[in-house]
Amino acid sequence: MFARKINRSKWNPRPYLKPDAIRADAVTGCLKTKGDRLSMWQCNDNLEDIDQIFLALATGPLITGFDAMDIVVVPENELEDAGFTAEATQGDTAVQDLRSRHVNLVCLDLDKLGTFAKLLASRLKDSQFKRATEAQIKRLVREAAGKGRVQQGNLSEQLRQKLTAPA
Amino acid sequence: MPETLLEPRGLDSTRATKQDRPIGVSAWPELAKVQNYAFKAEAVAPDEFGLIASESFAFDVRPKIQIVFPPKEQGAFIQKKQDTYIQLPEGASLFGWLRNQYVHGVIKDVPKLTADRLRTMVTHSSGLCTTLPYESDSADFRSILVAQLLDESIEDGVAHPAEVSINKAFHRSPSACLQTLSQVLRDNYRDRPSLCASVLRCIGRMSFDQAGHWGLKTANEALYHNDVEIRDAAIRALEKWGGNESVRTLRQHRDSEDWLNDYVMQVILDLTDSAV
Repeated sequence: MFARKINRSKWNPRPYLKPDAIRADAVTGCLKTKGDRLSMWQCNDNLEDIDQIFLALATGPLITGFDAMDIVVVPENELEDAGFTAEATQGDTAVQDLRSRHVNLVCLDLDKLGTFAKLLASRLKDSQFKRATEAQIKRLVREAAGKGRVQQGNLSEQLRQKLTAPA
Repeated sequence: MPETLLEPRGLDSTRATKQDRPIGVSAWPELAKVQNYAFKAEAVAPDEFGLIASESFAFDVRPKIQIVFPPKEQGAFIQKKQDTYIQLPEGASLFGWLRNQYVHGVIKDVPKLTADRLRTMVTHSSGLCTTLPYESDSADFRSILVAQLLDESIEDGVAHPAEVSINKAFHRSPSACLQTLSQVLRDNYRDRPSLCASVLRCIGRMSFDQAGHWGLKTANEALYHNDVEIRDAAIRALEKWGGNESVRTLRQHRDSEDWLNDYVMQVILDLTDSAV
């Protein structure tokens, strides 16, 4: 499976849209591309493994605090069938053993991004996403840090402080 | 020493924070010279004791206190504003003082005010209180905040520039800051739900010491909005603050979105677990 972080609440259509429409804000807000690439993470189709993606995302270099997060998962074969190409790259996370799980969907254009958005929307309709609460994220990061998996030097100063603060 | 130099009753409890400063003085050049001594009126929330009126208002009462400016400033000020009468010490809140006067029965028939703007008030010897034009700090803060939130969406776990603006505004004047946040929410509640959701996300990132009961009330009201982004932001705020009041509010909430209900249930579990 491929996992992508989104903001679930942006994927409900507004009253001025058709019931099955995808909001433009969902696309521009949740599917930001860089160099026509879209960042994703590989995981198995079970909740425990999806937690590892939450962990990778919650320990990114720009993360300064703990927040609830949403992840939607898409089967690899669905992406392949839709003509997407994935390239493995090292992910930006302070958890060393998760970096290799990062992939980019590459060579994206407007059509492909639209197709991807529709794939995500259909997954969301089938409830194929997970929200982790702030407390769950905090617990995941603290546990990983306790096991020495988090390279604290790669965390932002603010997150490092929050991590060392009493629970 | 003038015979009217009296400490207003209960002034200590109305003393503003050190960072508080009069607002709107830039709109009135004469007052700018004695900026630290301009009068300030503020309301924490519209349903509190309201002194902030639409354009101007009057109290049919002659204030009983007079606290003079330091001599150096006094000359310049008095020459230009002969009718200035009440003068409070630096940092004192005119609103607080007036509230005390009202509580003690000195001021009667304070008009029931519903206005939502923060104003600086000047009291004249006639007992007439007038407001300065809308103060510029709040207006600047409001426009900067909106621009920042429209420019960049809130990312989970990532600090947003608007948080810095809110913090600065809060340290200038907590009540003015909260008033402005309320204003932005009110102005955009119907037509720009995403902006409101972003404001709520920022409010949720304020500490409970800062947002306090105003924050809880704001989040609680947001739970009834028909836009899911706003309700989500409200639940996130309650999750961040935690505490019994947040749990109580969340327990009463039934969302039309199943996934949001699941989130609420999990937050309640998290918060009650952490309280054990």
